[in-house]
Amino acid sequence: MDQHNQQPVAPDAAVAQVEEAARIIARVRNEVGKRVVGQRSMIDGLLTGIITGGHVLLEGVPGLAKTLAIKALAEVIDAGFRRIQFTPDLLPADLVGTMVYRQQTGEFVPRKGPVFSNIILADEINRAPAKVQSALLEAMEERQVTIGETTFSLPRPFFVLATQNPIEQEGTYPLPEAQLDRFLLKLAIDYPSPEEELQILRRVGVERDIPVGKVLGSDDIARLRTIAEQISVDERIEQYIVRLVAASREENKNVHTWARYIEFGASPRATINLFRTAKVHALFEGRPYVVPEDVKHVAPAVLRHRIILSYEAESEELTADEVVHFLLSAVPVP
Amino acid sequence: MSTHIRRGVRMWTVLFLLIASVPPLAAGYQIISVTLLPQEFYVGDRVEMRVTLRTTSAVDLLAPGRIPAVEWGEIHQVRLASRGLDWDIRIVLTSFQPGTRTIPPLDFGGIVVSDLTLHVPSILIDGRRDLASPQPQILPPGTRLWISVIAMVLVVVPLSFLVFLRWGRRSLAEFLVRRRERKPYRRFVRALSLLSQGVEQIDGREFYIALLEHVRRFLSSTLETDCMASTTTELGGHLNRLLSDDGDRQTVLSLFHRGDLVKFAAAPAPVDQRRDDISVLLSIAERLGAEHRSPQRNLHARRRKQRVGV
Repeated sequence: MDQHNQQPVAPDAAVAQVEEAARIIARVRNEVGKRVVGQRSMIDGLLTGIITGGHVLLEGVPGLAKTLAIKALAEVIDAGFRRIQFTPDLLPADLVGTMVYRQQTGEFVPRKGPVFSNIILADEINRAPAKVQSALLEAMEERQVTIGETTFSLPRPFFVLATQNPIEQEGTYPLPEAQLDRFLLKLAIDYPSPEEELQILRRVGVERDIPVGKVLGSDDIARLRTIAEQISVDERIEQYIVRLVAASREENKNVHTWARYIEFGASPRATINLFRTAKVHALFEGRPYVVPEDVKHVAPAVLRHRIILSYEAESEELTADEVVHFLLSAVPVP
Repeated sequence: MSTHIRRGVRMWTVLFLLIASVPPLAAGYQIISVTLLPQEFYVGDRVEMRVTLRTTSAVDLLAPGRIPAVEWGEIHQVRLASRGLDWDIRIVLTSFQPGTRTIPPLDFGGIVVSDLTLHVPSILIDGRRDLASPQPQILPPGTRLWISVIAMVLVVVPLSFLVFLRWGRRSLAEFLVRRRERKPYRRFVRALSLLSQGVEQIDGREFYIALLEHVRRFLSSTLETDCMASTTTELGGHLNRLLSDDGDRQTVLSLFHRGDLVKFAAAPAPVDQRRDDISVLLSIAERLGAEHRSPQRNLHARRRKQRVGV
């Protein structure tokens, strides 16, 4: 918690709700922390996705516990979990299901695919071809799947937590921008610190299964979602969010220097997601109201996959994160 | 008879034609005045002779089509202008011989002016002076003045530059540094004074929005870092660079946190608290101004003190 909540000013009920949410979140962090050392921002990002009902894409080099963290979180949550390993020969039917001929009755019956679960781990999502990615796109956006001529609703809650490896590009199918935009957050996973790595060594140096408890039920998720929705956002914070996203679409390259690095800016979906995730971050910080820090903290994860860099940015070897940093440094906070 | 008559007629006709072919008698004139310009001139000088003459009858005169040549000099120009009955003749000439010179008759159409003379004095004969020795080359007017000005510039400018380098540069740099350092402070104090005047009227939220914006501007100018886009936490990092006193740092940070609470969480902002915040900020800014005098300025100050023996 930061200094902001040293002096509670919100109504007592709101403060109590935030404290209740903090207890639930702390339980989840503790349980996941039994398996995953460090990576606090990754775990918080995944939790943010779960609380806001958005999908999360994790990008990092192999061995950074991306899959482990998602599996641990899935075990902590009392909900269905399926892991789908995306490969080049995967078919949409392998994902969503297909119609199977039943000999006894002489009719086709639907066989639901692994996508019919609460939490889907789409491992190495960029290894599957575009048609499989499109099938997942419908599931992610519409939260429904069409098999044959019948449309089936997916169970609630439904989250896609996908991973991808940024260094191996051969034999991969980069996710199209439209699909990237469907992800609430894109978390860039970095290496652990030496201290964290030492802890990892000591904890899992000998291969063993560390049990975790199911501490987050569907009711808890719904409760967290309700509390997060009640986090108050001042009008000036709303304007700041809009200014920030609008800055990514700035075209005047002479006045705004960052504009030359951006080919296409973030969509209005980015504005909505920035708003929602800032609220959840305030909740994580134990505050019933949003401050500019919350927006700035979540902005890179919300914007980095929604900004398409220009040729100039590529020629100067700038990353999306650096361009987002320019935006955050240029737009005045309220 | 008829032959006599015819002869008579022929004779009278010839007589008539002879009478008709004789030109009328030239009109008379009277010279009213003759003026020479310049009045004092010598051989070789260009002189304008202005002659005013009056004709005895109204005639139209014309400037002579050809200017006559003279042996003693040269007639450059002859001009004619009418002044009612009077005519103004201007003859521009140069005589290369001394003595009295007669201008050849000038035919103005209606009259021929032939009695114009002028006396060309000789500087040797009339002035009784010897020839002057050869003079050095004459400079164009104003040359000496320009040479003096350029020489002065060539001397004074480098000299001033050297003087400035030796004494003025430090003073100027010191003045500019002082001015630059004091500018954000002056602006900040002015803004806070304005804000404090309306501290009771203004809404608490609006007060902290304005106050924190002024502080951000002040920090931006002082730190030469854009603090307008910095959050409260980020400002904490900037303040570490600016404020050496931990207490001041915490005070400013608390103020920002309090401001955020008022702005984004509708926390109350009592008037006394607002006044306290303004006075605390003013005192910190004053200390900051004193602390952050540049090392060079402090060195100058020490040198000055040493010079006066303090």
